[in-house]
Amino acid sequence: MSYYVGVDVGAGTAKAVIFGNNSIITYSVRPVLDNVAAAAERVTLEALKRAGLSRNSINYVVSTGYGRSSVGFADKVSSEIICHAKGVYYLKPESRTIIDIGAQDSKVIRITGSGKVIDFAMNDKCAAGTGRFLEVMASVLGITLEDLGPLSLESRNPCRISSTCTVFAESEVVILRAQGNSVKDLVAGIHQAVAKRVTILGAGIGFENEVVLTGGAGKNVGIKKSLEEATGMKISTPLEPQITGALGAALIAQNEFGSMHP
Amino acid sequence: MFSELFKLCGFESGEIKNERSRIDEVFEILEVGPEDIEIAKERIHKYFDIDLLGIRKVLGLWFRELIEMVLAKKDGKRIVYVSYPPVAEIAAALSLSSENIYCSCPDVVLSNTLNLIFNKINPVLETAEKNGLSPGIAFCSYLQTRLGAIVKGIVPKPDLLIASSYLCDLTPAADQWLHEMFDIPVLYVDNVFDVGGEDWPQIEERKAVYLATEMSEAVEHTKKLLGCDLSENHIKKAISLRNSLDSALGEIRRLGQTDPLLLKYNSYKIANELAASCIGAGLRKGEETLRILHEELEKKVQIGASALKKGVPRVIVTMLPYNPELTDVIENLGLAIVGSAALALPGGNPTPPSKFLFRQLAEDLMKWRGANYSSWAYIVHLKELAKRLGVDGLIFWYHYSCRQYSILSLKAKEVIENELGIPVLLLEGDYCDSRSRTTDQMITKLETFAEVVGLRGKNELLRRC
Repeated sequence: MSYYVGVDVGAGTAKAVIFGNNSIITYSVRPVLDNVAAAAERVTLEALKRAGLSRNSINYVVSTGYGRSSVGFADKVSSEIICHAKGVYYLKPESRTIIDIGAQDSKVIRITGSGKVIDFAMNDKCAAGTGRFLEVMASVLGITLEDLGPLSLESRNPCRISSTCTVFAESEVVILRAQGNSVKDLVAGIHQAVAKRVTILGAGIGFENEVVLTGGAGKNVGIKKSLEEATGMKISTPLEPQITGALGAALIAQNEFGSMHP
Repeated sequence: MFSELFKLCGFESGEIKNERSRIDEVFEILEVGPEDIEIAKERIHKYFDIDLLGIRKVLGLWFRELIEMVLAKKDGKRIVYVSYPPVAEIAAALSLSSENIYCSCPDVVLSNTLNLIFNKINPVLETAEKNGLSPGIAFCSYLQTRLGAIVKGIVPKPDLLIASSYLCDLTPAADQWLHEMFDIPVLYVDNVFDVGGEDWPQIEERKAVYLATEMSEAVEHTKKLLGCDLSENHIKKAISLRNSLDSALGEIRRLGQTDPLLLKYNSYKIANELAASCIGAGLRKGEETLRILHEELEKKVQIGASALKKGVPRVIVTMLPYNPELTDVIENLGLAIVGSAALALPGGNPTPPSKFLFRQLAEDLMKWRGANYSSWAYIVHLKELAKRLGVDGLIFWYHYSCRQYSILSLKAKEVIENELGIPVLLLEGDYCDSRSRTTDQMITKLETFAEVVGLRGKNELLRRC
């Protein structure tokens, strides 16, 4: 049997997917910490261990994400936008729009009925609307990232927070908290700010059903709810929203290997 | 120390010997040391087609422009700086009117030398930031370069500034600030940059008359302020010289659109900017240099040599920053850049000669690429250019704090994608400032765009078959 590995080394986490026999064999998600190359190595070894495979049994490796060029054992690199599109299309062929909110960037990707990218928008330097924005806010409020989603669903009166700048928003949250606003209303306001930012980002390319949310923020039910309100569309998330980039990379690996060994 | 660099840039040994003390002086003023010269040589080797003498000589002309500009005061000249985009013919006419007048656009010269070749512009930008031009509030790094260089003393203070506002309304604001700081007189060439442009390149009369009047008045004021004899004949001679330069460049543009491409875009860009913006050495020797380049390119066609692979997807760019690495990335991703928004429309009709000289200048300026006329005219220009060159995609790069381009970019994307069916990538950045480069994110976007464009190109090919 042939096995393929996709490694997605992002700003916050490294993900590896092992693919074979036309299905996901297993995957692993690990924090990047301080060394990108080591993180790629670690997450791949962990996935291989889970699958009970050795390095030698892997036919082809494709890397993606910010750290894609640091994955020394990759046979090919590919952009994360292409990989997310392939990964999401594999999991949900009916999807036409992907919202990916990762640690350091957010993207809106439009795909065709055959899973090809037709347009995309991605933030530049600004961290507003990204996972980093949520991390900063969680830290200011003294709660964990995992707490954000459930807390925000309890809010009845979300605070209004700037969607344009993480630094400004941080000051706003500190002031709003000092004014006596509850943490749940603040968190709901933070989610609305992220949703507004992402909606503006995607306005130029448009949102078409089905919309799928991926990346670390896909695990946050509050972000999903705010995005549904902001776009006016139903949004779904894959079971494991963080691995779609790595899955797409694994699918590209399978294709590449197939084209070399027809 | 610098002989090898100047030889690389097409200087003869005798010229280097003659210019040695002047080059030494200029490099001392610019704080260019041995390490910078090594960086320059490396960048020239890496990013430009130095197998072509024409390209080496184009680089050499930029160095000549730099030397003339930095030493203009010492050479006893009265100095006039025009802003970008310049009223090039008037600026050239000023240079022609007297040997004692030096006219230049320092932003362009420094961007193509100190920045593009030496990668050493940040101290100039930092000086501008400390002196009133903060980044990110519409004062782009072009304006910062202009002000920073004057404040830092690497270019001499001018006797007159001529600011145009028909493209950018912050240029006169930056020149006004120079006036406040150093009491330098400023003339403003304004224009009616407002709604309209659907019928472009038809020019509304009120706009043409207004801009022509502004130009005419600027010339009259310049004559009074400098006491120079700037006549219509000088302007006509300048038009003729610039037309010759443009015609020589036109031949290169024509060859610049072949498949496979004969020139890397970095090489094409420095030749293009030389023809579009040069007033000193570039104006005097540009035509001869571009003819050398043209002959070399013709030979390349004959022997089937090229700079890029044949059949790769073709794109146009609105503009690109003075970052040769980014251009290299685009080409290495397998995209051929066949031109920029600075190209006149191929086959476009030149303005018929008018008995009113300034009216003709005004119309030419507004017809050039639409951007000097209105936002909509610029979009019309881009659309027509993309259509006529039959490209597979367009990269709309803009300065992040440019009020004009950053705003119209979204509309341009919508119009071009809907009407031509080709993908448009919006890329924002900074013209000059390496501190604000986000290369990784740009590469991610460009890689994806290259795949989208490549796929479209393949489908288009299959459809035609």
